[in-house]
Order: sequence, then structure tokens, then C-alpha cells
Amino acid sequence: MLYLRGLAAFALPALAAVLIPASAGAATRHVWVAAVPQTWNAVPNARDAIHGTRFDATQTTFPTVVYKRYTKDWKRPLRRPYERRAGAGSIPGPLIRARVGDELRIHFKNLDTLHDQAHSMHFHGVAYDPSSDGVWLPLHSGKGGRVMPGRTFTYKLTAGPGSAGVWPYHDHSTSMEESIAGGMFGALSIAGRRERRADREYVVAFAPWHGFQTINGRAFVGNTPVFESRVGETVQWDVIAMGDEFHTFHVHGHRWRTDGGTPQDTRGLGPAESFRVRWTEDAPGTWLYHCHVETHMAQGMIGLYRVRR
Amino acid sequence: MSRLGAALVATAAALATPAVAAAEDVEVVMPGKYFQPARVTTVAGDRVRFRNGDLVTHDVRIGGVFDSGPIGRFSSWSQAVDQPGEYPFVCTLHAFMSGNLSVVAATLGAAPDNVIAGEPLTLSGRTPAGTARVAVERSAPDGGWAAAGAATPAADGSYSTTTPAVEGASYRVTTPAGASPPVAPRVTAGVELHVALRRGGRHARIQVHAMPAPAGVVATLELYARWRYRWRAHRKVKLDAHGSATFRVPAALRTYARVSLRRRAGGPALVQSDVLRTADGRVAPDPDGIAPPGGGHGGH
Repeated sequence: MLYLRGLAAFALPALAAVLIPASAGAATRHVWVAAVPQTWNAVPNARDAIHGTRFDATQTTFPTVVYKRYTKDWKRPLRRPYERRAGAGSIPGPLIRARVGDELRIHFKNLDTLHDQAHSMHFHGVAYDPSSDGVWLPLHSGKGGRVMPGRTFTYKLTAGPGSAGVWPYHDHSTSMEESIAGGMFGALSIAGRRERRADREYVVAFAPWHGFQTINGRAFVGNTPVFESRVGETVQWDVIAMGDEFHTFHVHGHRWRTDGGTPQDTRGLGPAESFRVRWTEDAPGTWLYHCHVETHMAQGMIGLYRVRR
Repeated sequence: MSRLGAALVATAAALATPAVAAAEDVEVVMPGKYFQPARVTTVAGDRVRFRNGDLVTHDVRIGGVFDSGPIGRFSSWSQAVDQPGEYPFVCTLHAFMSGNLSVVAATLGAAPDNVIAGEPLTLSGRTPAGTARVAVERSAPDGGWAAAGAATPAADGSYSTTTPAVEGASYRVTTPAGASPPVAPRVTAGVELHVALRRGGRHARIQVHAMPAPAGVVATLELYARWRYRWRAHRKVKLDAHGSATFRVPAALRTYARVSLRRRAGGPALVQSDVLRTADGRVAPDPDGIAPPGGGHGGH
């Protein structure tokens, strides 16, 4: 049953993408994002509860710059309920959702008063003109590749026919290296045109942060997101990786099917790679999810998944 | 006097008494044939201004040292007093008009008013501007004074420092010019906190009782967030006059509970109860302290 549902979840959107004309029901979605300073503690409970190691807040807290969603015209910060449940909103940045066929207008403002540096947003998986690439390339890139402090830029993106899935976005400006290391990345979740959204959607972003191996900017159980679901719900895991290392996504007590139909409970990904997995929940209990590169797990890349009856 | 002469005198006065520049003015009014307020405390160097709000002429003689001469109606006169001491003052025209000026080397106040032994006590006050250092002293059981810290006053002479509260002790600060009047804050001896959990129906009651009953503290029920591996404040109540409070939690709750006493919500815990297991109310080890035997690894 679980496998059949898993298969349906992958096969139907693909079928729908072929059968349904691209213009039907497409929307233009406006998203307001800013790069803002934030003081971030990777280990709020001050401990690695599994190994019994304790940390002082001064070892785990640093000022950084993150992407945050705002209301129209950047009037005030906004965290949508599905972003809270997905563990997204600062590190990683806003969970940007769309459907195949949608136009996306990402209105970006650089409010970096911490480093006073240029920033940008570069999106994977979607289509855009070079002017919306968000990359700094001398003699070629436009203003969107290097948005100066206090300035704004609107990226125009199209969720094309091949864009269903999960993709990363990140800073690709002159400050790219330190900005990504500080947490300036996020996930773009594009559903098929007629695809039913999962009951629960979780973002798992593997990245190093100040010597810790983090999931969503946090390290060790209790600090990383505690994802919650109930038996019978469909759950979707949006997995992305940033940085220089290879990671393997593993969830205890569960398995899913690859696109080819093979059962799987661990899947690898390298820098800026991404994927999503889905299943219908049938296993109550408290489970671990983690990167199975064992040194990463020991340095914090591990979290809890709680399934209630 | 020429304007130049006046300026020179003013400059000379400023150089001679640098403390005056930052000192405070204290005002005593004569609204009728009495002084308001009649008892005044100042720091050495402060200037006291006597303002005649009455319809008739008054004067002021301070401690037989300073004499105002006649102060006409709606006029005033002021005088700086540099030497600590007690200075009774009178109106020589109406001898029944009297008051007292206390000039001190330093003022001292203690906050909060009623603390639990060991809780930080904030001692603050003022010294003459330019005072380099004040020494904090606590009364000793032998009747003498023992050192309990020091503070560096700001440029205006104000200072503030904290020291752990000791039951029954008085505090004072000393400067080269002398000591402040002592203060004796109310300090409650070490508080014992008893907790008990009683189960019944859909709810369990967690009863807390503090001995002796401390005044003005907040009792916080903390529950252990088992998926977050940390204590979290659940509910806050003020202890009643007997030092008791009751919390209600769902009977089905399966975690650990403890109660902390704090001066204010979110402040440091002054006293903490035993940890109880909510399943059966038994005392349990703090789950925050659970470590793997020998620092072993979690299995995967």
C-alpha cells in the first residue's frame, strides 16, 4: 500500500505535466524576501543529548545574515505556518512554494547592516533570463547579481515543465562563499500542476555552520527540527545540501521508492543537489533522521521525527 | 563687580570646589511658617536651596555655621555643605520653625527590599562627584564590618554594585570622606521547596510549599520537553501568604516536572525543587543530566 501510494505520488504529476496545457490555472506568485542580520544559536539546548557533551552559548552563537520572508513592500517579517512546520524561515530561508506553470516574482531587498555586503538570490530548477540569474559575473551580470545594501531587485522566474520537485536557492553574489557558510540558502518546492500537496512538508538542509554539521542551521537532537506527523498523513521531505561535502539522508523506520521503483531508506547528495521523498505515514513512534556520514552525525547532523497515532 | 571680575570669581569657585559642578540641588520650601521637607539628607558638596513661599520674610541659620540673612517673600537662598555631619536649621525670626540637614559621605539603598539569602542584592547610591572608589562593607557577627566588594562611581558620583544577600546583615559603603548610613535589607534565610504530585481523574495536581514563605516571588512549574531535551516554563503563579501554590497538569502527561522560585518571571532561579516523574509522582534524577555510560555512542 505504502509503495503504491509512493509510486502514485511520483507518476501522477509527471503524467499531469504531459497531459495538461502549460497555461491552465497558472498563477503569478509574488514573494518578498530580504537579507537581514540575525544572531543565531546552533545549539539552543546547549548539549549533544546523545553523547552527553555540553556547550556554552558563546561557542554556538554567532551573528549572521539570513533570508527572511516579508509582507508586501518589506513592511514586516512574515513566517507562514507551513514554513514553521517545515523548519524553514531563516536558516534555511523562506520555503518558496509554486506549481508547474507558475510565474514567480521574487522581490529581494538587501538589508545587510551586519557586514554591509552585496547579496543576491540564485535559483536552481526554474527558468529565467540571464538578468534574473542572480550571479555576479563581471562584464555580464546585471544588478540582480550584486544587490548592494539598501537596494532591491526583482527576480523573474518561470516554473517550467521540468521544474516539479525541490530545488535550492542561495546567494551567488560577490559575498557568496561566506554568505552561504552563514546560512544564506533555502528551498524552492514546486508541485506538479495538478499534484495534491502532501499533508506535511519538511525541509532538511544539510550544511556546515561554524564547525558544526547542521540541519537547518541547528546541531544535535532537540535543536534540529522535531518534525511531527500522524499515521495516515502523506509526508514530503525536501532535502537540500550546501557547502563542500557529500551527505546521505536517512530516516529510521521508513523507506520510500526511487523514481525507478527501488525501495530506499538512505539517499546521497552533494553540494547544491536536492530531492524530495514522499510516503504515507504508517509507523508511529519517535524516530531519528540524520546524515549517515558518521562524522557529520556526531557533529550535529541528526534530528527527531515524531509520528503520533 | 565687573563682568570680568564675576567670571573670574565663578571660575575660581569652580576650580576650588569641583564637586559642586555635578552636585545636586535639594530644595526646602517655606510655604508658611514651617520647612517642607523638614528633614533633608544630602551628599557632601550638594547645594541646599531654601525658597520662601510665604508672604513674610524668613531667614535660615544652619547648624550655627551658615546664615542666610533675611530672605524676602518669594525669594530664595542656597548654600553648599561640604562636611558630613548633622546640621539642625532654624528660622531665627520664627524660632519654632526648625528642621535638620544630614550631610553624608555617601547615600546607600538596597533593592529588592525583601530577598532570599544568596540572591543578588543591588546596592546603589551617590557619593560626591569625583570620588574614585567606594568600598562595600557587611556587618560581621562580632559587631564589626567586613569587606564585601567595591564599586567605581560614575563621573557624577552615582554607583551601583551587587553582592549576595546574607541573612541578618547590614550593609554600608565607605569613602575617604567617611561611611554611608547603614541599610539592613530584609533577607529570608535559605528556602526549602517541597513538591508533591497527586493524581486524580483527568488531572494531576502538583502542590508546592516553600518554607519559610518568601515574599514577592514567582513559582514556575517547569516541564521537561522530551523531544527538545530542555526544561521549559509551563505556568507561573505567585505563592500565597503561606508559601503554597498548586499547579494542574493533564493526568496523561508523561514527562518530568519541577518548580523554581524566581524574583520575576524569566529571572534566575533562586530555589529549585526536586524533579518529579509525572507518571507516578516519584522523585527522579534530572533528565538534563542523563549522560551515556562512559560517554558511549548512540546506536544507529
